[in-house]
Parts: sequence; C-alpha cells; structure tokens
Amino acid sequence: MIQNLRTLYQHRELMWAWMLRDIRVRYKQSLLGAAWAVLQPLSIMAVFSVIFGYIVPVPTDGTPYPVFSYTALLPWTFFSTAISFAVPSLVNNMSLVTKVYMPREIFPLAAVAGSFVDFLVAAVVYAGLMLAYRMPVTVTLIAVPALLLIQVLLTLGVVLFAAALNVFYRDVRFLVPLGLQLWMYATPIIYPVSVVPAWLRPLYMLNPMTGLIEAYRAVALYGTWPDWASLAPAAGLSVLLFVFGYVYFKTVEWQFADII
Amino acid sequence: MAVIEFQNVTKRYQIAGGTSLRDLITAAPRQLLRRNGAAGRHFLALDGVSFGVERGEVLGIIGHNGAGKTTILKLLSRVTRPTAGRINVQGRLSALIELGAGFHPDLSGRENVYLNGAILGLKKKDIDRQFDSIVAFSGLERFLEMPVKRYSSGMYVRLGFAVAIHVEPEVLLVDEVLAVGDMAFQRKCLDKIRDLRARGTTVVFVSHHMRTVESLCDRALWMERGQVRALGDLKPIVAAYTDEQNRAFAAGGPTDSQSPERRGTGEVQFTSVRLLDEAGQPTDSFGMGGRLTLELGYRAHHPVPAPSFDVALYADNGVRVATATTRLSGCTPATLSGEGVLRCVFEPLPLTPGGYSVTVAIFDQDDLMMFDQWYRAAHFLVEMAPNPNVRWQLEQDEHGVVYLPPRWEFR
Repeated sequence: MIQNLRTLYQHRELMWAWMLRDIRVRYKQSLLGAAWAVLQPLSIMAVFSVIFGYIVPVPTDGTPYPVFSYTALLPWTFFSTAISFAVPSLVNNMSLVTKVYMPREIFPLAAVAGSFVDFLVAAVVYAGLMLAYRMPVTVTLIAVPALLLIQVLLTLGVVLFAAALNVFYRDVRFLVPLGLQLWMYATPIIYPVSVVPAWLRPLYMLNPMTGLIEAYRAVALYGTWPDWASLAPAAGLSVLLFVFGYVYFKTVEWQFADII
Repeated sequence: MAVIEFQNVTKRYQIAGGTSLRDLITAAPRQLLRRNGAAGRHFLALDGVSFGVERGEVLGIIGHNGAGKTTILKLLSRVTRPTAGRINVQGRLSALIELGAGFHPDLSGRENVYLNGAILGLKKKDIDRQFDSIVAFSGLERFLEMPVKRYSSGMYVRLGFAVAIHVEPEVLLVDEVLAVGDMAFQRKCLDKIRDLRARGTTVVFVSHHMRTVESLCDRALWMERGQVRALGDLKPIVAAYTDEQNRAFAAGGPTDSQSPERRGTGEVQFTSVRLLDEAGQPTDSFGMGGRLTLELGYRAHHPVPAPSFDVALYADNGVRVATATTRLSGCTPATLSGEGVLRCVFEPLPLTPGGYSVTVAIFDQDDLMMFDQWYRAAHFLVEMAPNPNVRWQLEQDEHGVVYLPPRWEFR
C-alpha cells in the first residue's frame, strides 16, 4: 500500500495533467459550463423544497427547507457525480490502459477531483443561499475540511472498487445510477434522522453517508460540533472501505490490460 | 550489460467468455460441472521466450501477426504481467506504441502536447524546456491553438510522434507506428531514432517493413507462434524470413496474415506479385507521377480459355482507387496454360503521397468464377519529390487520393 502510494506520488505530474484535462474537457464541452455544477443540486433543491416544504411537509427542526436540503445535497451531489464519472473512467480510457503503463488509479482519482471542482463551484451558491436566509456563520464550520476528507476516502473506496469491477463486468455501469438512487433515499437528505424509527437506527447508521450528512448539518446549520457517536463509525467505515477498495484495485490492476 | 532481459517468459491469455454479469451467471454452472474451470479456453501468446538486449542496441522483432510481438512490447512496458518467467528492464522506458495516446479532441494542440508528454512520463518543466523543439519537429506551429479534432490524421500523428520522440528514454519501444504519416516525416522519425541510438538509447522495434528493420536494427528476433524462431544477426534472419514468406507466396499458402488472403477455385494461381521500379528492380516506393510496374507470376494447372486478370488499387484510408482488368483493356489471352509472367504498367502514376495496396484476381471467361484472389498482395508508398513552389506535401488523407495534373489558363 505504501509502495503503491509512493508510485502514485512519482506520477503526480501525470495525475495533475490528467485532472486538468478532465476538468477542462468537462467545462469546454458543455454550453453552460460551470452552470451545470450549480444547476443540478439547485434544481433538485427547488423540487424538494416545493414537495417536502409545502406539499408533504417534512419536519426540519425549524430550518428553512431549502437550506436544510441544500446542506445535504451539496456534499451528496459531490459524492454521486464523483461515482458516476469515476466508475466508467477505466473503460473509457481503454486505449491508454492497454498501451501505456501508469498507476491506473489515476483515472478514477482524476474523475473524483473533477467532481470536487464542481463541488467548489456549487459551494459558492451555497454561501449565497446561507446569506439570503440569514443563517449565522458559526465557528463550527472549520470542521468541514475534516468531514470532506472522510467523504473523499469513502468516495475513493467505492470508486476504486466499482471502477475495477466495471472492467470485468460492464453491467456495473448500469447498476451505479440505480444504486446511487437507493443510497440517496437511505441517507438523510430529504428528511432529518430524527424521523427514522428507533428500531431501524442501528441499521440506518451503517450507512457512512448518514453520519457525514448529519455532521455537515450540525456544523453548518445548527452551529454544534458533530455527534461523535454517529460520525466516528462513519469515519471508521470510510477508512476501511478506502483501504479495501485500494487494495482490491491494486490486486487486480495488472489484469485490466488483458481483459479490456 | 543487458538492459532488457527476458528469462523463459510465458504469457497465457484467458479467452474471455464475455464481460457481463449474465456471462458470469450462465458460466457458473458450467464451471462447476467441468471442475477444472475454463480448461482449454486459453491462448498461449508467449511460450518460454528468452532474450536479452544490450545497452545502445536496436533489436528488431519480426514475425507474422499473432506471433507474440505486441505481447512482448506490452510486457516490456509493464502494461501487463507474464504468467511465468522473469523480465528485467533497466532505466527509464518509453513506448511509441500508441501515438497521441490520451489526446483529447476538444483540447488544443498545445494542451495536448503537455498532456501527452505527461502520459509518456515527461515532467512539466521538461516539456516547457523542449516545447519549441517539439513544435518545430511536428511542423505544426500555426495550428497549436486549434483543437486537435480539426487536425488531419497526418497532423495528429506528427504531433504525437514529436512529443514521444522528445521523451529521451533509456529504453525505447517502437511498434509499427512509422507506417503512418508521409514519407518525409517517416524519414525524419527514423533519423531521430538513429540519433537516440547514437546517444546510447536501447531500442526495441517491431515492424512488418523489412527494409526499415534492415536499415535500423542491429539484431533481429524472429517470433513464431509465441516462440523464438531465431535470434541473432540481422541479415541472415531477415533474409530467411523474407525467403520463407516468398516461398509461402509461391505455394499459395497463407503467409503474413497482414497481406495475403487467398481464395478461389485454384485452376490458375498467382505464384508471385512484385512491384518494380523504372529500372525493373523490386521496390515498394514510387514517385508521384512516375512509373509503377506490377509483375504477376502465374501458373495454370490446366489450360483455361480466356481468363481475365484483375488488379485493384486501394488507398490505406480504405478508398478503392482504381480497377484494371485485362478483359477491359482487350488484352485477354485466348487460352492460358503453364507458367508465365504478366506485367501491368501504370504510367504516369497519378496517386498522391501515402500508402496503397494491390489486390489481384484471376477470373474465368465469363468473369463469374474466381480462380484465385490475392487480397492485399503488395503494398507500396507514393512519395512526392520536393516542389520548390511549396513548403508542404500532398497527402492522401488531406488532398485526395488522385493527383490530376491541371493546365491553368488565366484569360
């Protein structure tokens, strides 16, 4: 693992170049460019706000629903776009994978990095939203980078495993949108954790995104520090998934060129 | 000191049943029944191959398609691992295997130079330093800010090669990439490879083009069905290989799968197909507007009435350029018997610079039954003599396949 990370570090310039390529291409190809990064979480937020703010009201513990949902949608969109872009990244770059040697995790990693840029753009809108709703800026926001780090590890774990699996079984690509949709409903994005029945909680908290989203809301909306009881397992699980995903990836990596 | 060492290397590929979950699910019961899994579903790409390459040496790998040449390059570049055996490569390695690997059509030439350089292992500061030299080599100064999707295929290859050649590796792998691009550029590339060798770079060169192999390599490795057929001095190995190909031609059997595909009833067969220059010497490059002589050897196993010899010219971009038949020209013999030679002369040769191939066939008197067809029996290149009026060259891909010499009249 250390050896792998060292090799990756030796290829950092390529990693960087490939990331820039992904980002440039993404913003060059689409007419609206950066607007896409904002439009997606914003439009979902608008739909949710109408449905769950007015039509079927969801309790939000007193927070305006748009802010409540966007606080969760922002990191969730980062998570889901990263996965959607990264899973097919190896297969999409077949000609390179089969012909030039490089640490192959560069492709999924670059896709995750590209989604992070989208996230930053969308975060600017979030700041505007917070101002518009006159939400207080609290010192607890300094915990956000740590939360992001945990989320990135989780994302990488999922992505490395699924991207490698996608090389062997192309169906994985079709499972991803379905899986993400189910995962979203199993995460407190539309609703708060408080409405989840107590008997379901232990199972529910197994989803690392639950602890993360709760923590984001705590630090950004309620001005409290994350609930360690729910964040610690999420963090532990994320690290575990990352290690598992990376080890799996590096174990099967050399077979990619033979199969694609 | 050996820079590259292959010790008893074996590479077995599993012939994949498919890559979907359905394949996995349907294959599972069969695997269980058969116990020993996918026995027999393997392909032995390399079978106990050993060789070494010394520092500063150029090794040419020759052999038919599927002989294992590309697998050797893949193993050398660490894209895949051997099933058994040991591989040792010392020093920084770069592979000219896929020119323009990672080029993105929407990015500009400049952006792609940096990206491609990074893929080939160059640091950004190396590229900064060599950028002007890379651009000069490609000759694409004026198109740097243009997205490469608007490049012609020739321009694409030029830029790709220009970057690749500036990697200045200690070990360079070259896979048939020189078969693309115009003649002048190919020469430039070969010169650059010679230049690298002179500075101590070790080169492994895979090619079907024996003249290039002869002019570039020090030693040859002849691969056949995953095994080493011969290894050592260049001249005798290339001669033996060429000789065997020629004899296989004459026997009508398949030889290099890249060229011949023979089919037909066999009453009359081609025994040889040669391209001759103006002095009657075998060649595979011709000047634009010059003379091309196609020499067809044949053997009629019994006399046949009024057969027609057909010649088709194809450009490497897939366009069928021309058709000539003895019947159309009114040159068909009343009967054909025994062995003989037929010459077909194209003069002037109105083709633009680029690669072409010749497919020949013999038909019966009604043009219905095919005695023999030899698909892609010969390949040749057309070159353009330097023209003092222009700094560019005509290219098959860009300017059309045919050059019609015009008469201009200002009135």
